[in-house]
Amino acid sequence: MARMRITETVEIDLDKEMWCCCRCHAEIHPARESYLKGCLVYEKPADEIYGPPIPIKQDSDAISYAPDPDFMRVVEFYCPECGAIMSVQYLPSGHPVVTEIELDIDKLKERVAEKKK
Amino acid sequence: MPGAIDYEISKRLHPEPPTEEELENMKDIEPTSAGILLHKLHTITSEGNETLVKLGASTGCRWGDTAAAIYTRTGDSAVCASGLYFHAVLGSTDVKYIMKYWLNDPSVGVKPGDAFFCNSPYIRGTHPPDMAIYAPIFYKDKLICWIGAVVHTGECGACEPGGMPTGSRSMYEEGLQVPAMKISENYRLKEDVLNYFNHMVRDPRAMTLDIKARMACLRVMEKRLLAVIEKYSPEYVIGILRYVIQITGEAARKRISQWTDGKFSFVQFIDAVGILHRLMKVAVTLEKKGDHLYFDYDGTSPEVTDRVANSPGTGVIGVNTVYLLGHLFYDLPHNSGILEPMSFKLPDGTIVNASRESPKAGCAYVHEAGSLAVQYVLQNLVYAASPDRTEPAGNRGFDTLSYGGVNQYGESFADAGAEMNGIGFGARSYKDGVDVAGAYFAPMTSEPGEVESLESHLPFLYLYRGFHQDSCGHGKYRGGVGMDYAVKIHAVPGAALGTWGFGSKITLSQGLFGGYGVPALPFLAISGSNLNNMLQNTDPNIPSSARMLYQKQAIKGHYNLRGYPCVAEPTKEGDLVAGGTGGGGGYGDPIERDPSLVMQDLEKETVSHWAAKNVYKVVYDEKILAVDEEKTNSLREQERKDRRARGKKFAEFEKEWLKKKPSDETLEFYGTWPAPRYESFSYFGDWSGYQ
Repeated sequence: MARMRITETVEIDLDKEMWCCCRCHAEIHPARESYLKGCLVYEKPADEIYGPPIPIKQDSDAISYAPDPDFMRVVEFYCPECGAIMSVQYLPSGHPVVTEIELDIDKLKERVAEKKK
Repeated sequence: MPGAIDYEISKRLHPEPPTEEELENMKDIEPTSAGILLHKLHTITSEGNETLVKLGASTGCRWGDTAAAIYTRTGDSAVCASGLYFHAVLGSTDVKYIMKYWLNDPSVGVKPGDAFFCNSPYIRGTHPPDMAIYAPIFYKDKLICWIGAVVHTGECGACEPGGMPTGSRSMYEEGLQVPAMKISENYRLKEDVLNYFNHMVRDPRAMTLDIKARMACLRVMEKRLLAVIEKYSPEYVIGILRYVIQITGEAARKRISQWTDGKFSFVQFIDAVGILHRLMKVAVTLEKKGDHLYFDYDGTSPEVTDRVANSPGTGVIGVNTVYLLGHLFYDLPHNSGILEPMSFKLPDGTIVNASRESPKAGCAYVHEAGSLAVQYVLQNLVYAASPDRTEPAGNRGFDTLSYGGVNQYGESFADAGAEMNGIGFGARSYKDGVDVAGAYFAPMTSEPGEVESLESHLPFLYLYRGFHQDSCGHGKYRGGVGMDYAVKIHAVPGAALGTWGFGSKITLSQGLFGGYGVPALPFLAISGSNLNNMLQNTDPNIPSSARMLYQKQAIKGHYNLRGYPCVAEPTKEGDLVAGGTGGGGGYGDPIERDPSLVMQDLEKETVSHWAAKNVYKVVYDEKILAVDEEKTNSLREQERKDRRARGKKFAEFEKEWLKKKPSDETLEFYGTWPAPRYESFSYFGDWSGYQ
């Protein structure tokens, strides 16, 4: 069976039952689990995306476009082979990573087989 | 007598089973002829909606927060014109309430020429400013169907001006709430009822004109509809209204069946609980089985009984029709049939399925968070079959003004700002999102309003409105940017001014497939300013954008970083407020973005030089905006290497990550960390096929 693209960043090799990177086609993780488990993970400082805060001259406050770190952090998932960003999750500090996708692999195989007929 | 809340009605947002009469009248419907009549019915609702927008006075009515619709006799929305589909679909529960309680009540009854006013959060699922009027359509004394006109009028006599009080502590502080009251008999507006409504609110002018706009809308639609019934027969029209709901559900099922079976999850956060910045969560898990979608909201934060943070379940479900009918199933007829292949499981006593007494003014926050979660779980499902239909969301924090007082003509005014209609939309898999596109909830009809028109009846002077730089989510394709704005209190001694919305502490609309989400949104108030002097002297340092205001801080005065939301507080002539709406989420890895598109962004000033260099990793000549491709490729390749070097293996990351937690204050209303769980649930739609 050919590889099947599931999202912009990941595809599935149904024969091997493996998640693969769409950019470099490297195998990342078994398809019956979350592909995120095969990624490299990094908590990116939000200021590096939204810019540094701007101090208010006569006050202790600063104007910021970055989320408040006590409310939300930015977690990036990279392809371990090519470094492409596979997904970005915005989570409060310590909140479990969200699984995102759990495909019914058996149903998917049935569907692909039916299409071949 | 009807109770104060009717849970039986609130669970009937999904289409009713066809009546025997409808089944009989559907037998001979032929699709091509049906299409011609349905087009005619749609033009009738379009004319109705245009009438609403042209005649109304409130901000919502003038700038597109409206809907006009035709309902079956049993109350299902069948045909509507609006970008605001949830207004039309949620009308189903209003009409079903009227049919259940007033149709056969001898003290009320339903007769030709009647019209019923409804704005109860416990029936239609949204906040009191969303007001609707419905009228029965009779043909030779037989009730054929219903028509409705819905408008977000805003001011409704709540504890703060504008209809959406941030500081409300119970439903009894949220103004006028009418389950269904007859406002017209024998085609005459009842002056005593109108008089009562006007005495309940701060802006009787807007209330009166919006009600008359709704009545005009209904009369225009009734006149056209009766001609159609006369021409085609009442039986055919009864049949066609059920037919279009059924074919919508069937078409949705067919499309869903093409997608891959599986389970998809997403969590969306809210950073506002009443006047406090606190963290709440809406969790959605979608299971796709065959041709049906099952949405489960277990894991959502508990209801907060004395603060603005809650929604009835009906509204949480209904608001999804904005995305479903406006985007994902945009090519299907727009009616409640779209819900037929979708079922919803909402935990009881949570912000997505709250009890009667808790404040509902902020239910829209929960609607937005819930509909964001639903949109994002669908993206991972839809891509494999339809990559071109995937899109991150436009910002849904509203990020607008709320205000009230006496204007420059000595008239009362109170409303919410049209700025909320100036968000950027999400990027697509093949192009950038639209800048300052409209309101997410009314993508095709809303607009932020003309500044000159707003200044003509509000005591405001707009310093600027423009592209809100870097308010988009960055990505291979960036989201559209939102709109920045600054307003000076002008030509009156003072006014009450606050904000409505959320998203100052968090990223609301996230990116997709490696794209970033939108920024947190600051909101600044400056009191005791020297702005009048600067204006008199044509000072070149008068800011013309949010970035210029924030970076130069050329205006003297007391700066107060307030954020969204904040309670409406007294302000004086010369005081200034400045904020901006958010953009749309980004799509794909930002360093995959074509550098020439980044140069175009710089020319338009939608993206800053800081972002061009630090996020998009483009090397270029700042004077002529010429890209150095070799150095850009090299910088981007280095970034990929850096990612591989700094990224940790999942298990290693998780081991440290799961030890962390936000502060107790931030989690005050969150529920059990990290995932609140429940025993009791309400089920909406058909769950018989779920195993």
